[in-house]
Amino acid sequence: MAIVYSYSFGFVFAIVAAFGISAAPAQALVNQAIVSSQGVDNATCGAPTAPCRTLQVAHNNVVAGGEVDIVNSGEFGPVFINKSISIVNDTAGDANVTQPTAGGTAIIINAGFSGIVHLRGLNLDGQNAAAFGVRVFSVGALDLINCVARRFTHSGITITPSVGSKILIDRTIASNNGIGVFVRPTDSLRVTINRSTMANNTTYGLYVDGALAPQVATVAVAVVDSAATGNQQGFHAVTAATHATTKLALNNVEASLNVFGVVAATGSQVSLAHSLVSDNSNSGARRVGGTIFSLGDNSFRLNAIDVSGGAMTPYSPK
Amino acid sequence: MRMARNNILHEIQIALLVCCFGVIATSALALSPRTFVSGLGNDANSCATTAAPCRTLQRAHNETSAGGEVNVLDAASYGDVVITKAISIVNDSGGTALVQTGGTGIRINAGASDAMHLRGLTIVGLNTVGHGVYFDTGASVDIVNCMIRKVNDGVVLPSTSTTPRKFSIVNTTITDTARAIDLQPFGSGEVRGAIDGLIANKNGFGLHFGGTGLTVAAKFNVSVTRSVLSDNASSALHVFSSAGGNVPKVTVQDSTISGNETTGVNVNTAGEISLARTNVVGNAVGAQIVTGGTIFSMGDNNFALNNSDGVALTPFAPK
Repeated sequence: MAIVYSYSFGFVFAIVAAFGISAAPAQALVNQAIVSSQGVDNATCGAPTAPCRTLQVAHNNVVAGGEVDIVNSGEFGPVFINKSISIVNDTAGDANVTQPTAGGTAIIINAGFSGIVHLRGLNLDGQNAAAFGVRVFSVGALDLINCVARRFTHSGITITPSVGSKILIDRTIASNNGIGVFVRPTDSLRVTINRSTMANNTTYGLYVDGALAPQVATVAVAVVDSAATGNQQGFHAVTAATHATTKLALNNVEASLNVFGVVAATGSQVSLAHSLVSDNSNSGARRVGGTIFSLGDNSFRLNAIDVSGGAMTPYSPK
Repeated sequence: MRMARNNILHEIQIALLVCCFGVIATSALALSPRTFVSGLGNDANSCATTAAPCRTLQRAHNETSAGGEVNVLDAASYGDVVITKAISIVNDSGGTALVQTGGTGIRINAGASDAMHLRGLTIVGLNTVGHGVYFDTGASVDIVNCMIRKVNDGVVLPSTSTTPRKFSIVNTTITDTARAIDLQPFGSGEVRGAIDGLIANKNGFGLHFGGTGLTVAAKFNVSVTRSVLSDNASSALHVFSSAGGNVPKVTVQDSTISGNETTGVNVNTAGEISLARTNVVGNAVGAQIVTGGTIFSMGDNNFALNNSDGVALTPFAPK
């Protein structure tokens, strides 16, 4: 744990320099900062009459737990988040957070174990150069709502917290990345993925791995009304012996047009209910050392093979 | 003769003044059926046009006639508001309409027959104390497309009422509270509500419904549909009452109750929960009854990956 922290700190320090985090500003911090494509960045920007230009400066200008609100379409720049904060676009416009730097990250979250971070309505674009869209190093509670993360070479949404966390991903698109949503915590983690899409990612749509978390940790992901399509593997759950059991509950999801639709690898437990598993070019569902529980009400259609690597375990409704 | 003429002129002058003063007085008192707020507004404005918006919701509320509507024009923080009349406060994507509070974001102290409508608002606590929407008195409130976070109670129905109250909560997300929705009515006024498309995530309790203070005869009926109640530290749905007391009845359908750290659904002492076409997955305990109460099932619910599924459910048949 200490080794991981040191590595993260050194890495984080370099990122701090790159993102231009200022030392504690001399001006008093405000509760809310407005960001506009016509704004001007300075230490006092943020009032509706004097909006900021970039998310990073607005972030720096608000108190911990404060709010950054975007008022129009524009490019608002990558941001390093090191405290509780909300960054919200609630308009009809496009709030773009583009990271064109090879290997870079669009939004880094290092808010600490009590950090509450809320991101809404942001369009993250890696332009096939940057590595990570939203990269979570530490947070207590995170919302990604109505966001888009596309064209990141490693993963659109990268959830690798070093502290216990709870994460909500709602109405969010992670597409055209290496991996759509990558989850590998080192502590307990609960994730709800609701009404979201993980499409056309090179390897995995959703990848959940408990192998770095201790056995007593809870690593539980529930997916509802969501789709993983056009990936190499749609949904993939895995862990390692003597580590946390990865639990992935798939409810009313679609796993279609992948090579493998639903994969339960070493030590994982996947449940599958009311779902569509169709047109996967190798297998609809595949077991590689994990267990797939099926409610028996799923549609398996047009797969090369419906279920491979061992039968699913049936269970009854209650 | 001159004096009489002066008197007549004087009377005319007085009449004109009274006439003009009367007009001015009427304008100062006139409320508008539609008012506007903007981050660039000013509370010295009339609020009555998009060219003269106010800066705070409270000012706009005060300038709106009963049954009227406040429209939010753009993203800003608009302050707490106490509602004392039938009113709508609407943000239809003008930007984040933020009520950032350390106390109560929206307090409703309206008349027993007044209807309130809140749409597109973001209520965020500064320090996780206080209430989001506090429905003290009024006939009904609709909460639509809202985001409520980091307050102690997201939506609260707290108080004594002998008149009926209704609510609807639609397409709303409530996170990071101690209780997302806390209904503990007192008195004899019935409470009936519809919750559709709610996300209650990362709270202490999701839905916390207590019938202890309500008379036995009063209805306390809530439906929950197409909702996701997940990752709450206690229970997603907690229904409780007193022995022999009011029986709150909650109907859950087409919803997901997942990842809750204590129980998915829980009844304590008295109350009824019914489940249909609902996922109860990944909870510590799926369904629990403590001391008394009933959990009905239509037999088509998805219980999976719970540490324990919990108690046997009482079946009811579809029709």
